[in-house]
Amino acid sequence: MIIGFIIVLSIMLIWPNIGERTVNVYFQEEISEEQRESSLQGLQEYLKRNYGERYSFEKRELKKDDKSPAETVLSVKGNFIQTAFLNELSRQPGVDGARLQLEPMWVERNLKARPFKLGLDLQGGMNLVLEGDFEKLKEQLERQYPPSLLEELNKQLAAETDPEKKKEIEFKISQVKTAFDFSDERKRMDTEGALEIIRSRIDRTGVSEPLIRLQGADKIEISLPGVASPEQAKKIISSTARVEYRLAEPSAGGSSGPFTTAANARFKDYLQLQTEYQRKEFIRKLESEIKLPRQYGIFVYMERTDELDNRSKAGLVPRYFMVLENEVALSGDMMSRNVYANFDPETMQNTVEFELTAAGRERFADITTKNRGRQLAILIDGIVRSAPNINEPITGGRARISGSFSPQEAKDLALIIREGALPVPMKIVEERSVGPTMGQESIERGFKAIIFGLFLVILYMAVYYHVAGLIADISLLLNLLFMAGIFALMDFTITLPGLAGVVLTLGMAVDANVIIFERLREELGRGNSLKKAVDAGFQRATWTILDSNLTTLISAVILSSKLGVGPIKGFGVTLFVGIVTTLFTSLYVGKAIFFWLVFDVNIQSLPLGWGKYRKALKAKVEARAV
Amino acid sequence: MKIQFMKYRWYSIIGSLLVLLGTLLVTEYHFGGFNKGIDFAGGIKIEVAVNEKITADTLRAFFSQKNIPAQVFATDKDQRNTIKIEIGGQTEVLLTAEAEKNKADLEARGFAVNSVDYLRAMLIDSLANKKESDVQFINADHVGPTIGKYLTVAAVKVLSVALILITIYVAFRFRLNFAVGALFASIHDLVITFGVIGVLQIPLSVPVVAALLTILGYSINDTIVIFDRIRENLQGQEELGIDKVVDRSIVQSMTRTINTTTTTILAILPVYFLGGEGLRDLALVLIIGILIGTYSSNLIAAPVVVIWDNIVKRRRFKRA
Repeated sequence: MIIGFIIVLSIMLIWPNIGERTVNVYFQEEISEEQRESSLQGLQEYLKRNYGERYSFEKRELKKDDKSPAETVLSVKGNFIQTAFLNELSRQPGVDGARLQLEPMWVERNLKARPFKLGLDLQGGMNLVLEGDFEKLKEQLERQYPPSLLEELNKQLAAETDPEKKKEIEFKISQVKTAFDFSDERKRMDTEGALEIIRSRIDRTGVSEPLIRLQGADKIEISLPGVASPEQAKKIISSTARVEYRLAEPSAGGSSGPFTTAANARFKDYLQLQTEYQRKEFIRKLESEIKLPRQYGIFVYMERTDELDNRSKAGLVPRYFMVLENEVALSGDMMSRNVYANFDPETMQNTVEFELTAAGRERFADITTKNRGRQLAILIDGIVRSAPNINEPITGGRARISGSFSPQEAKDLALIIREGALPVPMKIVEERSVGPTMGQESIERGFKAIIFGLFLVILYMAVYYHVAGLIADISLLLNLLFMAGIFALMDFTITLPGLAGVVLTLGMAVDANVIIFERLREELGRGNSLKKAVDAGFQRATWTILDSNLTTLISAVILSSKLGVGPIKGFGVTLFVGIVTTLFTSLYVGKAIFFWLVFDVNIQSLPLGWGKYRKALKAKVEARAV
Repeated sequence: MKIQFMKYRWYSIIGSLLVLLGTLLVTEYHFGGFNKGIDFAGGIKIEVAVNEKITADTLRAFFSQKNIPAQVFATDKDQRNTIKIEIGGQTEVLLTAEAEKNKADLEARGFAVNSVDYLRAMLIDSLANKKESDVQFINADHVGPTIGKYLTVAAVKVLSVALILITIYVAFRFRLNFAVGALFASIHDLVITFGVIGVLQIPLSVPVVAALLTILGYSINDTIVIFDRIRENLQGQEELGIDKVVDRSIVQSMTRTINTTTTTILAILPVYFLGGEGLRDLALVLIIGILIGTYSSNLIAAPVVVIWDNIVKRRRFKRA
């Protein structure tokens, strides 16, 4: 019963990978009818030329609901559609990348099964490792604070008698010292800052499923599936994000300003819109609707969430409208790199402290004096990411943003402010690109190798252990199925070495069966009856199998733990899952089949291959017959 | 069947040490060290599509003219019509510096500033009459000089922690002498496989590291199965002498040892032959490691258990 249930569940879980998938390609709304028609033609030809054999496609009219007008889409159908293919599609002229996604299948909607992610070596794409170039940063800082500066300050400190001024100089000294403090902690912070900026740059390009993560303290690993040309990827990363500061509409006695209130009344409608174009249009219309004065504009406040939301690929979710001045109050380059999250013990609040450049200092003092009480919004690429209040005029070039932040929020805000510039120049230390056809070839070769290996193992077992070998073969196939099912649930990324790991696990999985069968043969050879032999054999073999697999499990856990890096980790996970499913199939499924055959069906002999045990068994059966 | 494996225990241990020494010496003096591959030593590996302007000859001429040490070789014709170019870590650093010098030019042409793009720009200029579409890089790997160290440190750390924990587990489940045997056998397998990798000059890469880690898992698994047998046979039969018990256990497990090794190697062989270049080295290392692992479970791990046992007994005897 349980076994049957798990089999069905596993098949359902891996169905999104083997079943036929559909992608509906929508076209951009802002382009004209003729352009759309020609994009459609172009795309059809492109698909026919490159994917004619693998995918089928047809023109369809689709409606979102009954009210909206029908749209022409190109519906692409086929097996094994990968993210890389989607990313490739989204770069074709006229295609609306924001609405490009696989039509979800029933199991995906209801069981959280996801299609396997293929590593870049299998689906093609670009993998980059960036490293913070702290040598270069040091050079830059030395230009800003020449080495003589510290000496000079120390001399001044010794000569100064006024305690007020002494404090000021001491502060300057500590400032210079922190700038040159290249501790691991500092490196990690700067690299995290750079990672955040690069993430927002990549999010903006609409490449889906990018993988961006910290590697060690000063490296960033980036994977971009389907981005085939290295130039393109590097351009994405090196493009600069725009950070700017704008003043919000003055609030009216505690509540938000009249325009802000009016705009937010329509925010719900805004959320219903599907495409970037519709959203832009909506805001333009809304601005004239609420008769917004020309110096203001409507902007969207967005928050980053971790929830995977298919519609907002970037993970940025719109929260509300803000009415901001069109004139930029401060640009990102007026902020220095010294931005830190801090804790104020007096007010018991988490704060973000930042410093301005010489040019920014004056301007900031001016703005904060004149606009006390207003919100100063921090925008990245035209999206509001934070909007602190101006509590007091800030003239010293150092400011503090306080509010009810959690420590994490304060840290995030510091990162956002620092996004004006990469905190440390990055250099590419590793770069791998795999063309999409190469990836396809690797998949085909990899699968061919697995199937062939599986076939050989199955054959060997059947030839050597006869009927018992067939039982082992059944549990081997189930093992593969369960492994695939678990991978589907785990959102696992399959790589080429990972595939090899699967093959190896299959080879080793048979080991458990071999141990059991050898035990059975031994027990039978001693002249035990089949029932007794099966009983004793399993009992003895179980501990052997558990001990040997648990030790392997230890290394699997270590490999897949925090200690393992990148590809090693993936390998460890494969091994781990393989051991668990092996234990289950051999000790539970295999045992169930044997016990059912021997105790329920009550068979008298079980072909276990050649050898002297047979004679013993035969004699036994004959003796009973007599 | 009676084979007295334990009678020859010192032979197998000394034999292994000799093989290890031999492989390391050959690697060091004949080949001048391990073939580090670009994953570890850094460098550039590019696969470029062949056309009438890009051929092995024109590429070789180009590299010798520019004085860039690079290896150029054609790939299997039946797979793809491409040429592979490999450039070592040292040259890669120089190329990156050159790219930095020509930054303005590269950026004006829409290339990123790094060694791979710089190389492509040079190829386009020299061989393709500045026609960009004629120089197509199908794959490009570029690894800076720092990654190798990072990987090595990570791999060694992971291996050590895994070994320590496994030893503790075995000591806990079996006896201390078994744990010592398992530890010796695991280290033996890793180090000798590493030596063979050096002799065969298999380029060290991330998949090869993964293979080494797997061998650790396999070898431990194999060792424990035999230990389990020894433990079972020891019960009530200690007066026989541990070497006899170990001999018998090895013989009893022999069929299972052969069958498991066979099936595992059967599963990997197709990967070696069909898996393509990306997997060939990985599969080869696995096959070597599995054979060594099987050997060591029987002829290293078990003898160490016996030797350790004898030493302990002798001490006790002396004290008594």
